[in-house]
Amino acid sequence: MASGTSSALMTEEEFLALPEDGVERWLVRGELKEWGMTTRNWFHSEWSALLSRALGIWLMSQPKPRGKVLAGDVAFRLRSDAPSVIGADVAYLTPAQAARLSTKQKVIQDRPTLAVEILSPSDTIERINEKLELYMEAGVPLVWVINGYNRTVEVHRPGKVPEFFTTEQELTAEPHLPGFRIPVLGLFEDL
Amino acid sequence: MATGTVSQPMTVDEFLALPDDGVERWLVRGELKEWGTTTRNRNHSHCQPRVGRALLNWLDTQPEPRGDVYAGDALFRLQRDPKVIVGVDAAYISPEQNSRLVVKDRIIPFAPTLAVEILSPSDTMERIAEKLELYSEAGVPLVWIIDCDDLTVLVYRPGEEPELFTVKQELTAEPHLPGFRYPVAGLFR
Repeated sequence: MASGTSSALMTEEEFLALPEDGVERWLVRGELKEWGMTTRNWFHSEWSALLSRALGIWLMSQPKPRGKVLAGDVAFRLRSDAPSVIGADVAYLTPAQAARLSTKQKVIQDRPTLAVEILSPSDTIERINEKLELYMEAGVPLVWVINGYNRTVEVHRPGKVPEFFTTEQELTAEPHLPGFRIPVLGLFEDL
Repeated sequence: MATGTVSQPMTVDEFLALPDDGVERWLVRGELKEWGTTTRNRNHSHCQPRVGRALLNWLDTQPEPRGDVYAGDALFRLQRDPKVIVGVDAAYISPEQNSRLVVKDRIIPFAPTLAVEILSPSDTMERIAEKLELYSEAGVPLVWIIDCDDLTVLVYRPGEEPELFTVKQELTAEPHLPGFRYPVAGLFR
């Protein structure tokens, strides 16, 4: 779908009661935003798996207690005053954030420390920019936008100009994921 | 619209005879590709004349004979056989290319030296990727993708990794636009 559609204000409970029918939905400042059916093609899923593996390997090298790596449209509540709930393709939570998680929560009540968006063919510029705006407004310290079309990663941090990484470079995530390094090419190919 | 739709093969004459109804259309290898009505938001319309100004100001400093600057969905034939025709938000053609244009050309019958795409909210990743591929196949030496929300310019050159320019940087276009320098921030102010 090209553009989101807005309807009446909605609570988080109402939002979570919506059917799981493949339509991508965000709750943005109390408003329901629907993006139509998500098309996740195989390469999107592969890039998601490659990144999750790299983050998982890094995580295992960390001292306990560890943070958590989450993948697959993880729902985060980004604001408490005006509920905003969106899904992240891949996310990292610090050890302190991970300790606050409970299986009773349907939506993670913390903002992620790292949120990753893997671009899909049907993604519009509007959707991508709105999501980035929500993350930045919520103070998510690190956001990666993974673009498999040109094999690049755009790194966003609140208040900073975006940084850009190509397959000739390595991606790091200091200071939030200390010591994490991956060649950008490794996000798109099994090296 | 999220995806293009494809119908039967079409000639350039048929393509040019289509109504001017706001629907964005490309002719790709003889096939009509429709992208739905383009939504040009304020940012897009704000940025486009600034790109034009930057290019024209530079052009004025160049010795004669000069190249030329086009803006506003200018139709370029990127490929002759099979035919590929797309609209370009802003473009620069070299002095040599300019000398090849004749009055009766309804579209510009070659690929530009610089093609500029200003992203619209309704643009999909698929559309952007396909257009970049068409530019690349046509050997366009320089492509700028301007993101008015991100305030960035992504620069593509054949066979090279893309390069991102932010509002803290200056945009150059060597060797194709010799001496061109423009602060990225000036495209959005």
